[in-house]
Order: sequence, then structure tokens, then C-alpha cells
Amino acid sequence: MTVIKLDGITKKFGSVTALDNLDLTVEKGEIYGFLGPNGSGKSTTINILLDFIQPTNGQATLFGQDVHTNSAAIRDRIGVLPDAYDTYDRLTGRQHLEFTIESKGASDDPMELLERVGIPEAADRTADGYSKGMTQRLVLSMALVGDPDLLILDEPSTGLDPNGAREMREIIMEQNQRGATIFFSSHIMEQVEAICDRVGILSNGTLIAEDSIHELRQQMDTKTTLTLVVSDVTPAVVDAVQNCTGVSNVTTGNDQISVSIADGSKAAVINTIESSAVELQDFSTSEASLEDLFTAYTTEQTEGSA
Amino acid sequence: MSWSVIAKKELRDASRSRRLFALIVTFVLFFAGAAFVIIKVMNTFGGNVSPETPAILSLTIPLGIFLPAVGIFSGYRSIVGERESGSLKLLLSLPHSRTDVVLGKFLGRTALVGSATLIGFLVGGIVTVALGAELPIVDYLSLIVLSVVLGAAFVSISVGFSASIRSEDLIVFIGFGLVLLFTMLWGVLTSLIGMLLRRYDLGSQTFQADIVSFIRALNPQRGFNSAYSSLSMLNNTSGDVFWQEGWFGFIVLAFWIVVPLAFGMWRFNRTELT
Repeated sequence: MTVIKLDGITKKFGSVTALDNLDLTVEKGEIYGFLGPNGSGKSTTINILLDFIQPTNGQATLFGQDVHTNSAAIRDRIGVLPDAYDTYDRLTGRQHLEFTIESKGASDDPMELLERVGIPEAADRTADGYSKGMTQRLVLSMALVGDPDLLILDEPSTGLDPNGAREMREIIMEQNQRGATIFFSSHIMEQVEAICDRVGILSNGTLIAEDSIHELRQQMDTKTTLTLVVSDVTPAVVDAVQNCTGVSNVTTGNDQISVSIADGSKAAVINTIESSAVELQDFSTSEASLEDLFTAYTTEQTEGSA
Repeated sequence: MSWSVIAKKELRDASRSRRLFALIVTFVLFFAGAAFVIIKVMNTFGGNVSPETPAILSLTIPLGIFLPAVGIFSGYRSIVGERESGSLKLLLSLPHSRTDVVLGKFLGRTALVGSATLIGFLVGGIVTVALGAELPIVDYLSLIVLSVVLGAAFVSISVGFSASIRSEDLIVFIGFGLVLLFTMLWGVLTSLIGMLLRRYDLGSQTFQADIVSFIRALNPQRGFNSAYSSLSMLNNTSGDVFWQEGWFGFIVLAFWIVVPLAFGMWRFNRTELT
């Protein structure tokens, strides 16, 4: 069953095109990571799903219902952590939850939810005294009220420390196991890597890549970088390294040579240097991080469109 | 019944933040003070309380300034304030339609102003009786009901307005502007229109006079006065044209409750919340 469907969505603000003919589908039970740099159109997309704004063109549906005409009924089935929100300063955490529970006609226990997000001690304090991280946890707990079928989380890790971000991921996994579909946006690849079934990368209002993390990595043909620290960077040794099979993109520094290598080429490069006139003092390898992958995608796109 | 959840929240928030308490104190001071002053003044000048206009009913004139001010300042930030802070995003992430939000805010704030009005009148009534003045019960009750209705009209104006604008930037000026419009400027503007009609000789003299008196009758305060006259046993005047008759006052009050709110809903349903 399709939970989210965006069909040719275009959104213009005056002369600025925020979303350009965006198609996107999320199936029931998926965890979908919506990635993109700031300003790429992620929040605009989410604002359309929530009917905060309306698309210039195209149709958006949630659970097969139009997001505009059936907005309130749809919002009964979803939990939301929006961006650029504010809590009610004078209400306590518990009162926020009580209002949410009443609004959704749910029967959750506010304390249980606050414990789940790790702020039970703040239950009876007013929200104006909460830190950014505590506020984010409170709003996440509000999103969990009534066991929604879909969670829409806009940059959920904002304001959380690494530990908080890990707990957020755990909660997302738990909710998914319960059967909820998860749609969350982030500008940090690392956060989606561990938990997403599928990732869509948005840049300048267009989806430039959409696949599993594994597939994305394959498509980009990213390679391992081998960095060699040597006694002297001579033209002869650079030439020799360049001629090894599986080596590409050789860069040199003061006393080091960095090369991109294909799988299984490391030994050949090291042997080449050891049999040359220069001395190999140290070496290290690093795999292309998803961050590099993400950067590669988004910069390629920018360069392509420039 | 999503609006009722929002209306209840409004009332709860107001009592938690002591806004309700402050409002009740203001009303009580106003009514008790006004009743006291009016009775004392009457006793000084008339020797005894005039039977034609019992003290509590002389409140219609000060009420005409007090209720617009309280009604407007009770609602003018209700929606645009949440919009500017961002709490509207949390509210509209929940299953409330935008219409429910406007309606809930209106009902909650009307209940707020209405309960303060009731308590104020009650204390005013007690003061009146305690000072030995007459308290004609039917007139007194109709004055209470109509005051609650007039309060609702001004809450509708301010909530409708609050739903229609994007930013809080000029909200305080707008608030004062609205209060001035309905208390003083309406009369000034009506006279101005009359002058213009005469200056450019538009229509007959009767027509000019009718236009002016019709516009004057559209003021919610006028509506309140003429509706009250029609209920009051003391003051049964009827005009020669329909808009000067008592029933038209009820129409005017209904207009000011329905139209600003409907306009606010219409605007709010179409606006983009970014």
C-alpha cells in the first residue's frame, strides 16, 4: 500500500522554484530518508504534505487521500515533528501531551511518553525553560500520541547531542517495528545511513537520486582512499604508483601520496613503493563516507546545472 | 468537535496564566466603580435616584467604550501570535481544521470575556442594591445578555482580524486603531460622509440623512443600544425607518459576530503557513 505519493509537485514562491516536478512514493512500512542540503526543498515538501502550503502544480496524497481536501482526517493518522515550530511557553510538558491526546482522541499516558523520550523529570515544568534538545524530545513524544500510521519528522536530530540522536534513531526503529511508516528529512547523511530502507536526495527542488544506501554507493563507484606517508615524493615513485592497476586520482602532498584504489589493489601499491627508492613510513586507508557520497551527488548536480 | 478542544484549551490557558483572573478583576472594578459613581452622582444632583433611568442601566454609555476595548484586546493576538511564534505549526499538525482553529479561538475568548462580564454585572448589581438604588430585574438581565453578545461581536472582529494577517508587526497599533474606530471614529467618519454628500449635493436631503443614519446604525454599539431599547420597558422608542427600529439592532449584532469571523476563516483557509 502506498502511504505517501507526490505526483509532479511544483512549488513556486514568486519567481523562485522551490520544488520542480517532484515525484516521490513511500510504501507502507518503509523508513524513508529525505536528504538534501539546507534550502533544497525538504521542508517545502513536508509543508505540502501537512497542507501548510499548497503546490503550484501536481497532486500530493497521503493514504490515497488528497492532502488538501482531507487534511484534518489525514492528520488524525500521522504524527509530526515539524520544523521552525514553537511550543506553548506557559504549558508544561505534561499539558502539551494532554492537549495532544485530547485533540487526537487518544488514550495514551503522558508520563509513559515522556519516559519514552527521556524527559520524565521535566513533566511539570513549563516548556519555556526547556533546552532545544528537551523541546525536540517533547515534540517527538507528541508525535507518538495515538500510535500514528505515519511519522513525518523534519530534521528530528536538530538540537540533540550524539546520544540523543541515537535515542531518536532507536525510537524510529521501534515505531517502524510497530508497523509505522517513517518519513524523515535530514541534511546529515550519517543519520539516515543506519536505519533507512530507502534514501532520496533532493537538490534544488529535484530528486537527484533515490535508492537504498548500498545501491547509491555502488552507483557512485566510490573507492577507498589510500594515503601513503613517504620519505620523499619523487616523480619516479608517483609515476610507478600511477601505473599500478586499479589506481586512480593520485594527489601528492609534502611527504604523502593519496590515491583512490579499487578493491584488492592496496597490496600492489604498497609493494610498488617498497621496491622503489623512497621509504614508506606509514599508510592508512579510508572508505568513502556517505558524507562524501552525498557531497559528490549534490555538488555534481550544482556543477551540472551551472 | 475539534473546535471545542481548542476553545477549552483557550479557557484553561487563560485561567492558568491568570489572564482570566485579571480580566474578572478589571470587570468587577469597572462595574462596581461605575455603579458607585453613577449612584453617588445622581444622589448629589437629583437628591434621589431617578426612577426613569436606574443606575445600573446608565452603564450603557461606559460599556460602549469598555467592551470594544476588552473584546478587541482579548482576541487580536490569538491567531497571528501563534503564527509568528510557530506554535501554530504544532496546533495544525494535530487533526484540527483551520476553520476549527478560528472557531475554537473565538468561542474560547468569548467565553472568557463573557464570564468576566457576568461576574462584573453581578458585583455591579450587588453594589447597586447595597447603595439602596433600584435594580429593575428584567432590564438588568437583558443588559447582561446584550453585553455578552456585544463582547462576542468585538471578539469576533479581533479574532477574524488576527486570522487574516501575516505578522504581528503592527498589531498593537491595529488593536488601538480598531478600538478607536468603533468607539470614536465611526461617528466622525459618518459625519464626514454626510458632509461630503452635502458638499457634492448627491441625492436629496432625505437621502443624505438616511445614508448617514444608516451607517451610524451599523455600528455594533448602536446595534447594542437599539436592541436594548427594544427590550427595555423604560425606553421604547421606535424610528420612522426600519434601521432605527429595535429589531435591526439584533441584526447588526449578528452581522458583527458572523461576518468578521467568516472573513477570518476564509482568509486563514487560503493562507500559506511557512
